[in-house]
Amino acid sequence: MSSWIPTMHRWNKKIHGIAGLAGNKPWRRCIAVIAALLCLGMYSGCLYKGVRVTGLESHAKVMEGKTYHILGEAEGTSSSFNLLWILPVTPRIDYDRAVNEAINSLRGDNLINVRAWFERQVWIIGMVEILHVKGTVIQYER
Amino acid sequence: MSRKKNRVAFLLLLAALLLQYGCITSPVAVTSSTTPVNDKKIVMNYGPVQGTHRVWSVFGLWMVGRPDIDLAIQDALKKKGGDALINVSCYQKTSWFFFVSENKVVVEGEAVSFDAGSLEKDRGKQTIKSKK
Repeated sequence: MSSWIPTMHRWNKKIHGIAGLAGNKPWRRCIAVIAALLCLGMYSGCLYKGVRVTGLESHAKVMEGKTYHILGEAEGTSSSFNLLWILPVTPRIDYDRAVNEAINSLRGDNLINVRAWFERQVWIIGMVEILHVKGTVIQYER
Repeated sequence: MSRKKNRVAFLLLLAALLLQYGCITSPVAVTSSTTPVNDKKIVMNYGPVQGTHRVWSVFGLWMVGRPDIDLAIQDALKKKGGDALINVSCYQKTSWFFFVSENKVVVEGEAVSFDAGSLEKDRGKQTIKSKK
């Protein structure tokens, strides 16, 4: 039994992969943690996820009347997918489509207090782009 | 000797820090107001205000949350009060540090208050519709 102990000590001192990097030195431990986090992120399949604000407007379409009813908040989206990041397999993202989706969800006429943002997700098999448009749906008084 | 080594290490670390730091600002939008003001009367102008909302990205690759323009507007209005912003400009700032990056949306404009009558009229309209 006593002959095992020096062998175990020697084995413990050896470096084995990423886990082995986490030795006594703090910078090694730091690198090991970073590498482990990167591996964990990549393992999910998502290589990149980012959001960019793209618009802020008082209204999406020309105001056809001065008096209107507020129907409520709504959000519309338009998305596209690029196979292997460069080959488009669906129609491109369309601002009008997103606006109309938001308006039609509450059967209104226009969208006011408009905020738009663009989301991009890069996966191993391709890239997803989503345009979000959010605002207050209104209906003109007739 | 060890002091010299430490100094070199410190200078290298400082150089690495400076090299790893980056910043980019991109314009987002310019608009006359955050909400239509055609049928509303501005009764008070509180002057220029600025609001921000920031989120962080891990390694600049995975964003946690999203920069919310709504929260930036609310942040701006919280500073001096008011109902909406006029003469608005909006931009997004991205800064990279060692292992994280900061994404910040900034909204600048003038905070204004509308006539209470026009606001109540708006609210009334909303109530009428929701009753249906």
